Amino acid sequence: MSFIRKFAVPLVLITVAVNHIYRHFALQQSAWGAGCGFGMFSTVDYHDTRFYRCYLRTKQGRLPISVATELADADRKARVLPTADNMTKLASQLAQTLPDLVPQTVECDSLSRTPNDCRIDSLQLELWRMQIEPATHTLRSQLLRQVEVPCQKGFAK
Amino acid sequence: MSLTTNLVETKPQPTGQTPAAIDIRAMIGLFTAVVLILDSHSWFYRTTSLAVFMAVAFSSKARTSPWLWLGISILWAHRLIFRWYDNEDHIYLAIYWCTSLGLAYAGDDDLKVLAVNARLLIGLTFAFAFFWKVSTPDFRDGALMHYKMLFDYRLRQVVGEDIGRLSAQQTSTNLNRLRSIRALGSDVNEVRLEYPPSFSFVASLMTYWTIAIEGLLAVVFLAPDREMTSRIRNGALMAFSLTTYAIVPVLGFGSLFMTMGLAQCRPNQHRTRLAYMGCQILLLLSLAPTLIAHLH
Repeated sequence: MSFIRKFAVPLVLITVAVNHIYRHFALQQSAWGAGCGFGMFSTVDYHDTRFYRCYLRTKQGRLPISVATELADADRKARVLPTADNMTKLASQLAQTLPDLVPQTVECDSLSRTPNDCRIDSLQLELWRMQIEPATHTLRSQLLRQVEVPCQKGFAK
Repeated sequence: MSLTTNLVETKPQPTGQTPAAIDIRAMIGLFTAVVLILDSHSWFYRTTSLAVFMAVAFSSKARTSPWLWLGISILWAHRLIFRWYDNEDHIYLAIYWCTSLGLAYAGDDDLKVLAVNARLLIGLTFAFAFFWKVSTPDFRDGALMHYKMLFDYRLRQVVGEDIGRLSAQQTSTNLNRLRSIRALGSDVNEVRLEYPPSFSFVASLMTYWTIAIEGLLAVVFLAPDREMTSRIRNGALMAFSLTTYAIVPVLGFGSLFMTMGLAQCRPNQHRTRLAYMGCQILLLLSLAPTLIAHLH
C-alpha cells in the first residue's frame, strides 16, 4: 500500500509522457502542451505555430478560404495530432459548412467561363509548420500534411 | 477549526528542534487550491476550485481528506481523457498532484508520502523537459528562443527588445513578414527576419541557461535525499520559477512548483518553507498588473 501511495502517480506520469514522446515521433503530435510529455518551449513546430492553407478546387483553379471559427475543436485537434483521419474530419466538416451556393465574394466570376466551371470539385486542406534558421535569419514554412475531400457545391451566379 | 488557529503547530517538538510555526498541511492545501483556481478556464472548473478553496480554508478535516483530493482529481481528469488535445502540461501536473494528496492522506505517514511524490513529480517533469530540449535540433541551435523572442510578445518585450536590442522597426518588419506567410491565399514560404547580433547572443544564452537549469533540477530532484542535495534543489527551483514565470506568467505552473517545493522540504527546513511561501506570494503579486489592466 505504501508503495502505491508513493510511486503510483509518478509511474502514471512516466507512462503518459513516454506515450506522448512515441506519438510525437511516430505521428508528429505537437511536442508542446497537449498529450503531456512536458515538451513545452522545446520546438518552434507545435500546434500554435502550425497553420492551415485551405482551397476550393474548381476547373479554373483553386480559391483560398479560411477555416471556419465554429470548427475550433476539430481545428485544434488536427493541429495537435495531424493524422490523415483528423485532417480529413476537419476538411469534411469544413466542406459541410459551405452553403450549397457559395457567395460571390470568392470571385468565381473572374474565373469562370461557363456555369459548369463554377462547380467546386473538392476542398483541399494543407497544414503547414514554421521553421527558423537563426544563422541565416530565415523564417520558413513547410508543408506538413495535406488532404482533399470531394465537395459537391457551386457558386452563386 | 479556522486557518488562524492552525498557523501555529501545537504538537510538542523533540529537544533541540525549532518548533514548526506553520501548519504544513493547511498551506499545502491552500496553495493547491490556488493552483486549481489559476488553472480554471470555465465555470465548471472555477466553481469546483473555489469550492475546494473554501473547504480547505475553513475545515482542517477537509484539507486532509483523501476524498476531497481524489474527488477533485476524478472531476478534473475527464478533461484529460475527453479533451486531451486541449490541456497544457501544468493541468496534467496539477491533477497528478491532487491525486498524490489524496493517496498521501489515505495513510498515516502523509507528509513523508507527499515529500516523495513532490520530489519525483518535479524531478520527472524536468527530466522530460530536459529530454525534449536536448533531443530537438531547433532548440539546441537557438531557433526556438529566436522565434519566441521575436513573436511571443512577453519574451519580446522583456528579453528581445530590452536586452537583445531589437528595435520597434525590426519588430514591425518581422511581424509583417510572418503575416505575409500566414495570410489567406499566400504562397510566400520564406522570408528574411531582422535582428541584431546582440539578439542572437541573448537567444543562445537563454538556450544554454534553460538546458543547464532544467538538467540540474532533474538531477537534484531525482537524486537521493541528502542535506546538500536538498539545499541545491530548493535554491534551483525557486531561482527557476522566479526567473521564468515572472517573464512568462504561466502561474499555474509556477505556483504548483512552489506548492510541491514546500511539500518536499525536509522536516527541519522551516526557513526554506517560508522562502517557498514568499516566492508563491511574489508570483501571485506578479499577476496584479494583468488584473489591473483587465479591470481597466
